[in-house]
Amino acid sequence: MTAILAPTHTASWTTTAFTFAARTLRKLLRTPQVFGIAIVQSVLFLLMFRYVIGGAIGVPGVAYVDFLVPGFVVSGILFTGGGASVAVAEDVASGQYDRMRSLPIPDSAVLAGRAIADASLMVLVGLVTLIVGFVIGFRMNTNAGDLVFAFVLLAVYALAFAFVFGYLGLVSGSAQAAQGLSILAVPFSFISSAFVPIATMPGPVQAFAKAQPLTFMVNAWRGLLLGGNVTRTFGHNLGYYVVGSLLWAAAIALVFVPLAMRSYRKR
Amino acid sequence: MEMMIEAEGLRKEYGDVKALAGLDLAVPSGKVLAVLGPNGAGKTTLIRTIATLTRPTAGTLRVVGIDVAHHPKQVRRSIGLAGQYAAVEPALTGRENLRMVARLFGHDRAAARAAADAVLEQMGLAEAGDRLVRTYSGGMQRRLDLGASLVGAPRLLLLDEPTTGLDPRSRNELWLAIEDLAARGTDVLLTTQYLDEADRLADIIAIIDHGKLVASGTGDELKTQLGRDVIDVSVKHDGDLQRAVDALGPEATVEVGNSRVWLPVTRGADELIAAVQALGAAGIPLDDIGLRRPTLDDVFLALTGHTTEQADGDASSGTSIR
Ligand SMILES: Nc1ncnc2c1ncn2[C@@H]1O[C@H](COP(=O)(O)OP(=O)(O)O)[C@@H](O)[C@H]1O
Ligand SMILES: [Mg+2]
Repeated sequence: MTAILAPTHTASWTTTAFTFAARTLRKLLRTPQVFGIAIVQSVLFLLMFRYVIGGAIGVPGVAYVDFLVPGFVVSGILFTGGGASVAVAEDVASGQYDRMRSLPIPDSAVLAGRAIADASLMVLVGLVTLIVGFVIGFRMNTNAGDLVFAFVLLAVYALAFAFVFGYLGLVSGSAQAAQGLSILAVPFSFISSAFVPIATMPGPVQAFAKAQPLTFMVNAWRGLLLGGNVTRTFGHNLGYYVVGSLLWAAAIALVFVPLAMRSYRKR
Repeated sequence: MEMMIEAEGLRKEYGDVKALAGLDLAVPSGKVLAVLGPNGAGKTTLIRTIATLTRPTAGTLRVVGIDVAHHPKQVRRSIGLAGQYAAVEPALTGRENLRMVARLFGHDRAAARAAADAVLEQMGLAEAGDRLVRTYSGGMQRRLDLGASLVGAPRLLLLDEPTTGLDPRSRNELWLAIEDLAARGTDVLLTTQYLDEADRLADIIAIIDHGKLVASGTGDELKTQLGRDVIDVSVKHDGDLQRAVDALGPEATVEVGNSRVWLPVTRGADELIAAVQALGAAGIPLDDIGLRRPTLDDVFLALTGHTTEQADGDASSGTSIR
């Protein structure tokens, strides 16, 4: 029998982050409850809005399907994220996080690895949603540069939200509780510009919708995919939404990265 | 002498619950240490404190000579943890699980591959190595979990109730694996509720109850410490238990659940005769009565007033939380 040698070094930050990210992504892709449901949910709702509800919604200056698909891709981050936080809660409950915490690796690298995996899944689901969008009539008016930039932004939002969902998974205490918390995605996505123009909402609701991160992100995405001018019908130019969404992503990360760090090493 | 574990006045309190209530324990390296105690005794809390997952409320703790409070990262380099439940990822194969942990222990790719292969071999999982862990039996998952704590070749292995919930065959396989590891010179600290497990695997047994050390030593030392033979009485009818105790005097104890009365004695044969006469005079029908050398069970009963299986009082009857 071969003797196992003791390692001469400890794992670096990047090795830790990417090893844990690769493991988590594999797990998520092989767990139909996470990946499969995220896709089915996204596609199902997209079809409902396009063919059932959409007829009753008028958006000035844009075809509803063109308005809807970017809203779906971006708000899908929240729905996929719910599944990700359930997976985190499961890893905590099964003791896998205890093993991570007992290893000589940096805490921040474990959380970053987790967030990279979760964000990758969110972007992947977004990509699938966009492709389904094309099938049901979505048409872009953009160039390669803007399209790439749109996906870079999507990845940035996803990464910021991955820390929110990672944190919720850590503090939820159980997979069921995490599942319960994931319902938060509903008000945040509906009280935003994702599915309907916010101009029709009553005052206080509208004020919330205007200020919250998802509206900035959705509108930035619309601007990049449908041509910058479209955002004027929402009240501001493309730059306003791009900068606003990036500031929001930074603010979210600034709050939730330390919170996640603290709850990971709570003892 | 190099020490595996040195705890002084170790305390961990969760609100009013004293999971560790001033634990003192010193065990040298090069041993297998079994921490034996009933449910709720504080075994998991002790393991988690050693593994740097839980911060003690008070007291000091050195693991392989390193102070846990001041150098948790160094402690993590020296330990491998297998917690109370198998912490392996069901959606990965056994090999993938081990390679990941090996990489995180600091192995480069090639070394991680080699370590994973060696551990699969050692744990008897070579053939199942490329199957998803969700298809493994409970015993296989436990062995894989043990393997995952090994791939970094740690100086000290921490195993929290490694065989709880396993069928006898899997249990035996795991025992063999642990004995094999100890023979190769790895220090092992395991917790258990089972006296036979402690007796079989451990060089040193530390008995804890209510978060405190009750006794420690080799199995033989503990038995000698009790220092006395034991009269074992099995009554025919449970209803006679209390009468049997009354007949035998204040040192007799009822072992609940076993319909047995238990009496430590110093003048073996004479006292056996006296006991037979006393029980006969009281007219209590017996199944069996005998004199024997004390077992670890007796030690535990004598020291704590209850058996390992039976929880007594508040603290130990609560559900154990990891
Ligand atoms: N996180 C926790 N919060 C509150 N009480 C806890 C926690 N962990 C353990 N306890 C309590 O501490 C005591 C010891 O628990 P534990 O160390 O799990 O015992 P054992 O592993 O020997 O069964 C029990 O009464 C248990 O309920
Ligand atoms: Mg326990």
